[in-house]
Amino acid sequence: MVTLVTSDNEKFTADKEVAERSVLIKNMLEDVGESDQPIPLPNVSSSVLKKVLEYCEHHRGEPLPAADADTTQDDTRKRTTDISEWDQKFITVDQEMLFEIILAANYLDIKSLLDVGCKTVANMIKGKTPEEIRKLFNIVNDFTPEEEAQIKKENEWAEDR
Amino acid sequence: MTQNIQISENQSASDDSQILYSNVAPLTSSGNSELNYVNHDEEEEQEEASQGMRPRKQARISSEGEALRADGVQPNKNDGSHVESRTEENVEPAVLSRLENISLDMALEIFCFLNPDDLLRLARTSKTLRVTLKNKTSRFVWRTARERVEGLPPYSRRYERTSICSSSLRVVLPFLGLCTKNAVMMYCGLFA
Repeated sequence: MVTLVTSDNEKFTADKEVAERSVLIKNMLEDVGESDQPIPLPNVSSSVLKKVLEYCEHHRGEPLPAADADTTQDDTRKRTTDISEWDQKFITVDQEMLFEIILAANYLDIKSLLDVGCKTVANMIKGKTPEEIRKLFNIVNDFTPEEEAQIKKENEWAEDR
Repeated sequence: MTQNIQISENQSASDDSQILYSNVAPLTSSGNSELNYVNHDEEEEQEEASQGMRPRKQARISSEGEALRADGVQPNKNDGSHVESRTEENVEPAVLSRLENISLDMALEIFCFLNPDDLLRLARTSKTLRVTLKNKTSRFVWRTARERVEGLPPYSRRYERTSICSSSLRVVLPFLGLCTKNAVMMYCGLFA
């Protein structure tokens, strides 16, 4: 078992196999060797780690992507935006949590979870008008009217969407 | 993974037919809808850029983001402490978007899953995103997006050299509704 300590000082224990789906934790464990020392995760809060561990638990035993995955493999990974049914349900959280999960997956180096998060955000953007995207992510439209007119002219073909 | 999405002035893409987006400051407009082009010091920007994970700093305009949720996405009120920790930050009525404040690497990871027309629309939402998407570092995003569109000839370095439109591109792109040079260039990831 591995003990993880979150930013808000909560302790989580997880099977080594589960925790090691995080490349960061895997490397840390390799560095310290056999030890009961808790692993501090100052960038992850307890509510987020709970979700992350849920994900790792569900996907335990699945093959991890090779550390030196070549670019062709990377390309294939990027081409599909499909998300499995379980993952889809798992990632059905509010936007704050979604971005927290993405940041945590990046920090903990869990590629598959990072992909699920990024695909989810991408799917939220897909097919939306600029105004809808702004609303969705609280983006401030800071173009001047002149700039906006210019851009509109460049993109006239997309205007009706 | 610490580079921030806020692109500094000298990186902005320069295409002479384009508007010059030279004064891109972090979006720190406070509450009111007026746009403040705050000209931050370079140093300050770099300092900000060096903080990889700082998502908590920003308050949101709608307290629990009810309106911001994606279709069909249910709130996950799993524990009170998470919400609790945000309440005091919500006091500051700054309007800052998540997409513009996560790190550049993260944003590009997300953008890689979009299609070219989504990217074009995204580039019209704000200056920060426009400059980001037109920056050289984003080129692979356009390329990845482009490769996802069926029927387009495969990406080739040749298009970069000839600057625009091999004969096959000329045939295909109008069908996709891309009629202006800039739109085509963005589509092909030729900006930068």
